Amino acid sequence: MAVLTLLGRRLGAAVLLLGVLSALTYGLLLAAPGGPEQVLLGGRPSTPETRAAIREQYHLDDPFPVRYARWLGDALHGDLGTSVYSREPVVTVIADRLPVTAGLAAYALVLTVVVGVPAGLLAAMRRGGRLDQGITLGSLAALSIPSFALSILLLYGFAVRLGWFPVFGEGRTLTERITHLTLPAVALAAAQAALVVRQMRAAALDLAASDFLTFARARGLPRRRVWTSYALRNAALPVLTVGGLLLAANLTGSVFVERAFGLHGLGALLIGAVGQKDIPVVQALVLLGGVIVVAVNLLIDLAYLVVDPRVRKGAAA
Amino acid sequence: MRAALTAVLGLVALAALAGPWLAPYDPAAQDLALGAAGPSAAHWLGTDEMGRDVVSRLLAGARSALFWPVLVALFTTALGTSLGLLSGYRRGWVDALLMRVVDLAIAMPGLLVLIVVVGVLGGGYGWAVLAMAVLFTPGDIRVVRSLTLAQRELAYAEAARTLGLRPGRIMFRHLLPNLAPTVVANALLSFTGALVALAGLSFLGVGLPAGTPDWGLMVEENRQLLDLNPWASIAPAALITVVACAATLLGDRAFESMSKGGVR
Amino acid sequence: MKVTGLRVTGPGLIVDGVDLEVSPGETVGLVGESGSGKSLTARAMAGLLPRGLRATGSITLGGRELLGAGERVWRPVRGRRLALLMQDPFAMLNPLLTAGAHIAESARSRVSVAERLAEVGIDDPSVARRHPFELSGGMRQRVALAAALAGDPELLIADEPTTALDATTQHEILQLVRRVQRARGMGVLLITHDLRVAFELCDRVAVMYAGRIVEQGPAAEVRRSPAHPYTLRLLAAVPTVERRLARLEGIPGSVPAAGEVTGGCAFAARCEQVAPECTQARPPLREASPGRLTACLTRVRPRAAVHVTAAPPPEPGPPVLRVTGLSKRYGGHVALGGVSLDVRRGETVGVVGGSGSGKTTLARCVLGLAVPDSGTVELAGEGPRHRLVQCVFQDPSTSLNPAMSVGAALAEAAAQGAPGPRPTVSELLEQVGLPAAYASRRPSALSGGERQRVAIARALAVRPSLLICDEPVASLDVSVQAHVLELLRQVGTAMLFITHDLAVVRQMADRLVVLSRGEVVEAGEADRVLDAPAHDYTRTLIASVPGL
Repeated sequence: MAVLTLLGRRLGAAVLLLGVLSALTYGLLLAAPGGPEQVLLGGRPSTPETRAAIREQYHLDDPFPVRYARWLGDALHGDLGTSVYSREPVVTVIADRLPVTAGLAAYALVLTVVVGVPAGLLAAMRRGGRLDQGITLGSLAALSIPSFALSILLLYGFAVRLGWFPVFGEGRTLTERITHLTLPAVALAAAQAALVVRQMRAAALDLAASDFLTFARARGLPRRRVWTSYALRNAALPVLTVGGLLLAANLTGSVFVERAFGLHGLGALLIGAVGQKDIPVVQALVLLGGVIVVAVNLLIDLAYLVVDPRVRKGAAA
Repeated sequence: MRAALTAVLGLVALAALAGPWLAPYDPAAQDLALGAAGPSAAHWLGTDEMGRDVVSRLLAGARSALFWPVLVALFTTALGTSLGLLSGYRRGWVDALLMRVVDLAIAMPGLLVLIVVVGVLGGGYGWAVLAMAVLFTPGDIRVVRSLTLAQRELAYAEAARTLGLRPGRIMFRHLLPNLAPTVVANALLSFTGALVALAGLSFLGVGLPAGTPDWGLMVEENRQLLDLNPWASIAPAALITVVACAATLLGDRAFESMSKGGVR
Repeated sequence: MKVTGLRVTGPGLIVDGVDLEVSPGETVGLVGESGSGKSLTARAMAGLLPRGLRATGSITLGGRELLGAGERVWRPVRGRRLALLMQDPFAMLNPLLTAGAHIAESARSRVSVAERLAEVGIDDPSVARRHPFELSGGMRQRVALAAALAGDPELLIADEPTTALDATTQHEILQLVRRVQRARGMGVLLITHDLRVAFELCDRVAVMYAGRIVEQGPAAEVRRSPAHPYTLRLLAAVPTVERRLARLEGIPGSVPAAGEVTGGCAFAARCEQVAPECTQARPPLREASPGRLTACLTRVRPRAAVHVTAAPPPEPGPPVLRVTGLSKRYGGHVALGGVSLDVRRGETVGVVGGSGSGKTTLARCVLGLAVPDSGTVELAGEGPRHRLVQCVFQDPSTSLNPAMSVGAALAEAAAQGAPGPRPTVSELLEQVGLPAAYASRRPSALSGGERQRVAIARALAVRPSLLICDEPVASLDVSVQAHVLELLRQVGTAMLFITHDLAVVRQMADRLVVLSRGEVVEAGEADRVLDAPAHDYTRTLIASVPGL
């Protein structure tokens, strides 16, 4: 029962968030300079006839709530309109660009986990030592470096000067793609990994000082048992909490990183669309961002349900 | 360490204030014949594509790079701390309502919204700064509120209420000093956040007219010159990085030393 | 298990040369106030010192040296040969595992989980499927005990196993430990700050002070004739539920750090019979009589009985507080179900009860920190509530604002009093026996007892006609507790004294109100209620007080 209430509440919040986000994005069309007709016409010359045609086609004479409801209904059916710039359906435009961004995000996520978790644990184990100070300082720095600045520095160092990696593009074959995406993924992963390092270190330190871990050792439990069912499971909880933050970093970070490395992913698409005032594409991308945020947060809630009996039995919100 | 960090920030602030007098050239003066040249005695960090002096442009950009983030930090910290204190101390319906809004705002993909709003509406730093203040404040509210909720249950806060002190006095004279480490850390975090976000926006070419002497924009406009004069885009990128790191580290240190000072 | 010359060092010296022996079937009590090093001694004996601390000396179990041995040696020893039970039942169990899983994972034999639970007095088999957060403190401690015993150890080290629990639960758990110890013929080392608990449960008692053992001997003998002045003074400071003492005597000063007193007797600075040679060399732990060890050079002189005739109970004046039919619910939980009582001028009314009895809610309603659902609180006198009633709260570590100097806190409080002559900061400090120079100090520079004195001064600053004391000494060491109680006795303001500790309330209250589940089950003269309790709940409470 408690599980259902919890899920219900979270779903409600998700719907509310998407509602607000969609209303905001739809409102963009009205707020854009030149008004909606101009935006939807794109760069084409406007005559009274074309304007009337546009008004007719997009039902611009209906009251705002009605138009918004119609647009939302279409969006829910997967119809996100047509790109003003390329004249293709928005869904096709996005599907074209998705693989690059998805590959980049996945690569960065792997780097984040592979580097962040061990580094955080290592820092906690060597608490106060040189290594810990180094890792802590490094993670703080990585957390504050803007991803585009890091991109430029990496690009100059490893691509221009050392020539280890390509400067531009995303490659065709799988191996090419991996080498092309390495530097961007590092730039994207730095801040996320730093977040994981800090969270992991704090969780491990909390754990090391916890009575229940001492009590487990005092009962002479085997090392493996202490590590798995005590240390890892309990440390997973606080690390899980930053999952949402990681995702936000991933989403916005990829916009900058794609720009810096000249990758043609969703981030580049967004910037292009913003520049060309291609509002239908912008709307779709913002909605997509919102849906991803909501979906990942729901996944994290589910993970909590699985790991933590207190949440499962409704003892904690 | 702390002295070094403060020195870094102080130096940049000094450059921002004295920039126009320190700059060897007019930041907008072009020397097309020179083009993108590497460092020389005349141009320490070389010139950009239009032959403009990189050092002068960096100095010219320092002012806006620091001023707007400081403004954002002051605004969000003041508003976030006051609302957080009020919400946590008074609880009740104000708190419930505020928290709904805050939860919603925090769940938003903030920078994405920022890019889109500023990109579509245009208008230089103005909209960006306003939007950023709106985006950063909820986080501050939430942190200060949760600390206030914990502090108000402690015996000293109950004693203050038992003594019949006015709520304003309890909030600002009793609770606030005990939240100081967090408030200071929050302010520095907001500063870094705003610095990085503003530079990021100009890097994306969003919000500023081309050619403005702005660190983020310089990184973007000169990144094609990495083989001709790499300094034209590396120097501003490094500057943003150094200032952001210094502010973050300073915030971290301030938090640690201040929370050690008071006994909880 | 035998411990010789155990020293624990961290940033400074913490435990300084402890010798201790526990034999099978024997219960040994290790008693000391906070900072004595008793808990770290226990942790060292299980090879589980916190990071950054180092132990030297010797720890042998069945003749085998364990100190300095690696995890490979320790792991099979822990659980199977010795077990450690810790203080906080709320932190000791893995929040993600069920009670049954805790026991099953520690088991080294084929005894079922249900049987293990039955051994610790849990007959309900469904407990095995519950998670720690679904169990009460007492239940958690039982589950922890069952898990600790699942490897059938020969020695159980119990570090303050009941301190975090309610008085009645505490009593049950101690009885349980005793029962299990007898049934298994196991050795038990009980670490406690409470002399009464040690005497009631243990065969032998060792008293620790500033990182060393100052006295050791059979419990009954140590209790009858302490062989070290510290033990003597500690015993004198322990309040008793049997009678009201005319004077409560604490020990002046505070416990020094072990590292500061290596060159002499650690207690010398606070000792009444100190001689020049006490500070010249460290007195060895010598045999005073067979089986009795003491670290005192001289024979302990029994203290002259204090002949202060108890002041006659004050003539009760008109009521200053009248509470009628007070009720308060939190959700479905009834905190107060119609409580009525009154406090008259010059008297102290004690309110006792276990956790969840509603005693703190009562205080909060009287103070105006909580709004009752129904019923009335009448305070005699003119003016706003804060001039009529003030409170001393429990936790000295949070009772003062860490960001405010003592002087500023007292001045602020005095300014809230009625117009007219107000007490100055130095007058207030003097009233609670603190030097005027303390005004410029921050709370972090004060000891727990000193903070509680400042908190009392702050409450008295508005000259209230009623003082509420909500467990004012529950977090203080015994020797400090006596000082604070004596101070409160001399205040003279009418008091509502809330506590779970019957021995403390005996020393303080003229009349007594016993609360259980939000209702008054018994009320009357304190002596009458405690000597001849009429209600079963009161009797249970009294029976669970460890006797001295």
